[in-house]
Amino acid sequence: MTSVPIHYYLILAGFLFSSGLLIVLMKRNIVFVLMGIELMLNAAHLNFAAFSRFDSKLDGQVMAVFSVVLAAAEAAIALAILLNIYKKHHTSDLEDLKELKN
Amino acid sequence: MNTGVWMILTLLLPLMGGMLAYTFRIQAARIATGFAFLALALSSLLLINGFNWSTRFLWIPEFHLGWRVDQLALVLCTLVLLISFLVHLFSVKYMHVHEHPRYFLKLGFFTTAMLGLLMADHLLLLFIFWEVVGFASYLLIGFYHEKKEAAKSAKWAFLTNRVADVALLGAILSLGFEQSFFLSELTAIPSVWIGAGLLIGAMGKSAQLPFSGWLPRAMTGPTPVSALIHAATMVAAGVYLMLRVGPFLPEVVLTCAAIVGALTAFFGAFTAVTQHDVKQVLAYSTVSQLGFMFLGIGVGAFESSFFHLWTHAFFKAGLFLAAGVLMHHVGTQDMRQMGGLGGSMKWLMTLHVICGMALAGFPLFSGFMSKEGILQATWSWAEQQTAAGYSEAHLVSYFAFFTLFLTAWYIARQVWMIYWTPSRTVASVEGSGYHWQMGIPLILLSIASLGIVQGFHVFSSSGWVMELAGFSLAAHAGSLIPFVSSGLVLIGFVHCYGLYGPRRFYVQHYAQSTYPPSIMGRLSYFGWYVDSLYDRVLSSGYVTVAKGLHWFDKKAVDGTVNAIGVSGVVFAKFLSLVDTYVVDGFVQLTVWISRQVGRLATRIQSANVQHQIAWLIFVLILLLVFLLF
Amino acid sequence: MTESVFFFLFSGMAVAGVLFMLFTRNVIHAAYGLVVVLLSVAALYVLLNAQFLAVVQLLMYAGGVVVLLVFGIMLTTRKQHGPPISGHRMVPLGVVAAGGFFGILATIILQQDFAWVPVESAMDQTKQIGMVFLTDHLVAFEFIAVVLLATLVGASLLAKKSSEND
Repeated sequence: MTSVPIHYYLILAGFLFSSGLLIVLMKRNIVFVLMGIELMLNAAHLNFAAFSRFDSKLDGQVMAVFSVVLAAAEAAIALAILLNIYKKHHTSDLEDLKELKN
Repeated sequence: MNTGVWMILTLLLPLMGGMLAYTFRIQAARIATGFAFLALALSSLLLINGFNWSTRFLWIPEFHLGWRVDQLALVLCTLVLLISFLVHLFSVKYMHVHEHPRYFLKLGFFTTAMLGLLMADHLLLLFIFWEVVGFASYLLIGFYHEKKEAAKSAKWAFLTNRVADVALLGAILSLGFEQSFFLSELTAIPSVWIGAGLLIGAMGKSAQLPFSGWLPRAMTGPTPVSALIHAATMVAAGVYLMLRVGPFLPEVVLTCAAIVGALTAFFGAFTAVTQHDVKQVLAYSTVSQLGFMFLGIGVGAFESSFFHLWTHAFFKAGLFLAAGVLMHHVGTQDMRQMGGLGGSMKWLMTLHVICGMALAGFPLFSGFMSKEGILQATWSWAEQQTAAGYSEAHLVSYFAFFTLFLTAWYIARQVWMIYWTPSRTVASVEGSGYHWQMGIPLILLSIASLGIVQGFHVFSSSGWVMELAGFSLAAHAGSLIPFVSSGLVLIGFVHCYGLYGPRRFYVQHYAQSTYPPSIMGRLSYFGWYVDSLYDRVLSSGYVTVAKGLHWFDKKAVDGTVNAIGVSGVVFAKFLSLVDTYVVDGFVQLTVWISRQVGRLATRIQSANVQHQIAWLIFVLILLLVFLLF
Repeated sequence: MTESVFFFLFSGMAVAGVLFMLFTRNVIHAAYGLVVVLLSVAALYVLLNAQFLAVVQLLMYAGGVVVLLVFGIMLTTRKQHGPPISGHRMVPLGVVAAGGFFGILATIILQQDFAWVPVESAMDQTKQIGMVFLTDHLVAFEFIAVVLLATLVGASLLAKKSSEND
């Protein structure tokens, strides 16, 4: 078999996940952070898909489909909240959104 | 007859007599005198029979002591007992009856101690008796202990002796461990230190120059005591020691003895010429004559020294007893208050003059014979030393001859002042009779001072006693010495008469005179300031040292105490500082640490979401690492 | 052989897109990067024999989520402030955290021995997945429907609130 071994996919998924994490930790813009979250979710989906290749029942794919749906729903809600926040504070910078005293 | 029992008995009889006298107070005088006579008789018998005895006995394990009674010791024992008996007899009437028990006890104790000293063979035994004799003399000098002067003099005598005895003890111990402790086993002593120690010890006992202060002071004791102790016996102990070890001493030590002797002789005579107290004159005279004896030993004339010791005992005791009789009748010791007594006390005057001539060394008297021996020996010694290159040796002989002149001078002065000058006494002399107890001893002693009694050849320098004591006769070729000395004595008498003769100006004012104003006179009167020098240097020096030590003690001790106190306070303050900074500091540190940890911990709970997420990831990583690896 | 070529191609695209997202400060540009990544991931799905999933990805993510995000960007920036710039913060900390996480993951993955054989699916995938939805994972399916309904209601509620505040 000359197919790509699964490790590669998994490593790639791991890389995507770490980068998503990095974006979440690093960026100041809320939307940017949301993007990072989407990236992380994608990494997980890729992981599922990689493993479902060896499954005759396609459980991994199913899981990934569900996850995609939920991710989309979550993105919608997040955006709604973002708009609310923007209305209130007139900023989308995480640095300025601090009400908890340090 | 050669057993030691008799000698031990002789030794103990005087002490027994004294103790019995103390016990039976009423008959004290008779008991004591009787025992003294018994002892004397016993000793004379032994002497006549040629007694010779030596023994060793065990004292402590591995350590023996010994007695030895040879001719010399026996002769001296007899001398001591004779003088002691005469003094006992004299004291019967001289001392008050209530004083008798204590007095005779002390006298007997002294006599026994002196005999023990003479009989000892072992050096340590001799040293023991040496000290006991010193103690006995302390008791007797301070007999009138209510008088402060007497107590002080007794102390002075004892202490001076003790100082000299340190050297003596050191020398005895070194000698004993080097050679032997037994006198009969001594051979030549090479060590100068040992010899010096022995010499110093003898000098202390015999009142030679550095240690001479106690003898004139000792005159505060009763006059018979002075006669016994300070004329005849105790002071002779030093000479006796020298006689015993002398032949074995190194040259240097003997030369020192000669020099010291000559100087002391000169010093004593020089001081005696200006004294006003009868007994003081005699005391300094004793110092001077002892110096002669030391001189004799130093030049090697042991037999002449011994002979002089023998004759000196008689005429000096006689002089002291005469002074005693004088004081008993006139009531004063001061010659300034006497004078013109020749008329009423003819008999006493005669005896006094006889003894005085003997002292001066006038031909036909005993003193002349013994002094000749010493002077001739000194001259030949000086000649020898000059031949060997030390021409200064003749200085010694010049001193000796000059002392002869001075001796004649002072004794003539005494005699004149008392008997022949116009009367200065306020009251006339009572014409009471003399007790035979006081007279007989005096007569006997005066007879013994005559030359003929001591030796048939009155112009020779030897007497029969020398043979008796085991010395060979002094053999000196006829020389000019006798004539020179006789001449000096005559000049002394004439010069004195020139100054102190009757109807002279000086004499008329004598009653008010104190000390001669000239430098020599003052030097003489105050005994060359030796005593005040000692006082200044030793006493003040000692006091200064004591004061210094006291100051130091105060500073050091108080300083230390204060320092301890201060250091205690300082330490306490330091501790409080430590408490404040260290202990409290620790507490503060823990507080600070917990605050920082708290701060650190709260930072996790930051307002920033991303921080929170970051911390979350961190912990997750840690968990994973922990679980997987 | 060809599989690996395509794999490296599309994974390279994905990585490039990710890196672009990381290093840019412009949010819009980052959205474009995200689109690239999503598309490459869809292609990878195809390689992994998950065609249905690839299509779903395209429809939902690239078509829906990204649009939403861009809407969000547009609505929350003011034009007069210039292009939306997002600064970086706690870079080292983030790098350490993310890097550490990636390191651990890589270590775990590389240590495993996945010796499986890929399975060829016999049936048409869409049909198969539809069958699975309605038989094995029915509850999840229904549940997702409920969630979507809730999302709908919630979003409209939130939107309504914001509109009331206006």
